[in-house]
Amino acid sequence: MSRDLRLLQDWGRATQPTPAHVREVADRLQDRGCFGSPAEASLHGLPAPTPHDLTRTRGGLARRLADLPLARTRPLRAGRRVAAIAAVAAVVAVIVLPRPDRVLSERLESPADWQERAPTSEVALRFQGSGSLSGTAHSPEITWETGRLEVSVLPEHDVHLVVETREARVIVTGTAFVVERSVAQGSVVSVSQGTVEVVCRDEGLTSVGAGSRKDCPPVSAYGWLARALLLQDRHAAAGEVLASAETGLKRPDARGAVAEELGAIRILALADLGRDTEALAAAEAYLGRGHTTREDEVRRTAVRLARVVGGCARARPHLEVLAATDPEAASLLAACTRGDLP
Amino acid sequence: MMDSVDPRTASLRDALSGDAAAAEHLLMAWLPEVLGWCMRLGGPKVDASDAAQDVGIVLWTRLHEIRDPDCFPAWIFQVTRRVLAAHRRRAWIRRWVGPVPNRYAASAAAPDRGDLSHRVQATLERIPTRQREALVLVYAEGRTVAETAHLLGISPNTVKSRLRLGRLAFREAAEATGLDPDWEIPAQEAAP
Repeated sequence: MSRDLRLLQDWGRATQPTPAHVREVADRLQDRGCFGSPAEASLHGLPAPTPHDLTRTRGGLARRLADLPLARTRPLRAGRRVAAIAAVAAVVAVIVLPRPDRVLSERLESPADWQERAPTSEVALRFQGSGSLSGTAHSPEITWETGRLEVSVLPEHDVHLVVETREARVIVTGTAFVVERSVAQGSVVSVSQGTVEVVCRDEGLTSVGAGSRKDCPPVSAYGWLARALLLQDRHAAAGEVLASAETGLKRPDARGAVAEELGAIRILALADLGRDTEALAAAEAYLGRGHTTREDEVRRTAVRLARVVGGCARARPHLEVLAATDPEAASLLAACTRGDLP
Repeated sequence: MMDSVDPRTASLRDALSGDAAAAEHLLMAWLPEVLGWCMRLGGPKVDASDAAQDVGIVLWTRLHEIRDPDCFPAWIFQVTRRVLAAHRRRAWIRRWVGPVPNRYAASAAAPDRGDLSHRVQATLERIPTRQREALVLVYAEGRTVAETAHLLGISPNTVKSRLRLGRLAFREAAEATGLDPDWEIPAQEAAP
């Protein structure tokens, strides 16, 4: 065996976890809820009562209490009478008055694997990504940050669930749907059952039925930049890339390096679409503002476009700048100077 | 295959049928292996204990999803791999809060062992992930090519190919990190 492999063997033996290290990890797993007793596990497996169960139970108990004659009790002293009335009032209040809605508060975090949650008996979640759960059992609210979230809500159970992303607000009363969110994609809501109402940040309310989807595009210049870059990577049509870049440039937060990058992408997309005059004007305006992001790439594009639009005379100013560092530009400039090229 | 003679799988079928005690036994039986993978494949920026805990949580909560007991070793390795990838992605935050303390680094009495282990780890970090996995599983952990192929869900020939490329990459990386193959790493001391 070579010396390298023997070294790896020795390293493998030297890095074998010690029993103390394993015990420490096991203790921390126990603190986090693993290794429950069989009794605990069976308790956790019992189904929670549904609101329908509770309502029926309360109603039945209230009726039974109403049938009990109070006169059969022996006369109470004043103090005991007040205490008895207070106790009865408390019981009636618990039975008749609606109980406070259970408050929900939980971080939903699973970047690597799919996780499932059932925060109430009417709501089931399955997700790979991150977000947070708040609100109450009857009005849960999920703020979804990134990744894929699948939601199922039992209909006709008086649950009003809202999912919010940066781009969309989804209102649900009984359905099954999926929300996928990423910076470049924005938020996509796909409905498999029932109907949901979706409000994209820059648009009005849309009802989305089963089998349909609604795309809520990015709401920031950075999001549109990410989308434009993603489209470029996927070799999407230049028109789509151009639309993303121009939409991003119109965002109020389009400034600095993000705006420069979007500007460069727009120029390249215009050139790809054959809109040479427009692309050249944009490139020269970009270079005139002193932007450094993708300067060389934009200048080379300007050279190519200028030669098409106006020949060597038009391209010369750009060639003279590039020639200092680009041998190909230098030889092109020399050819223009000699009159070898139009 | 590996798990046909692996005594740890004795409790696997009971655990899959819902026996909590068997599930606990299964988790404890695999924890040393999982922790070893986290220590060797996580890299210097990942806290192996944290990553191993996360794998344990996944095993504890998702064991019921396994349909084929024969696939369990490969399943738990894939879970470990994905958890480590997530920890590596989050590790950049630790640039700002300080390095991860390595409680299991060499003591002051034996500084060389820790330094050598870290050099080997730093060397392994320089080679592609798939080749690193093959080298660690076969040479550092002593698995056969067939066992490694089963764990990774690939063919034995692919494992051999990754080992071949990995050895070349390791030698090249060792020259860059100054790792001398003639150094010897002492065996780990027995735990108190």
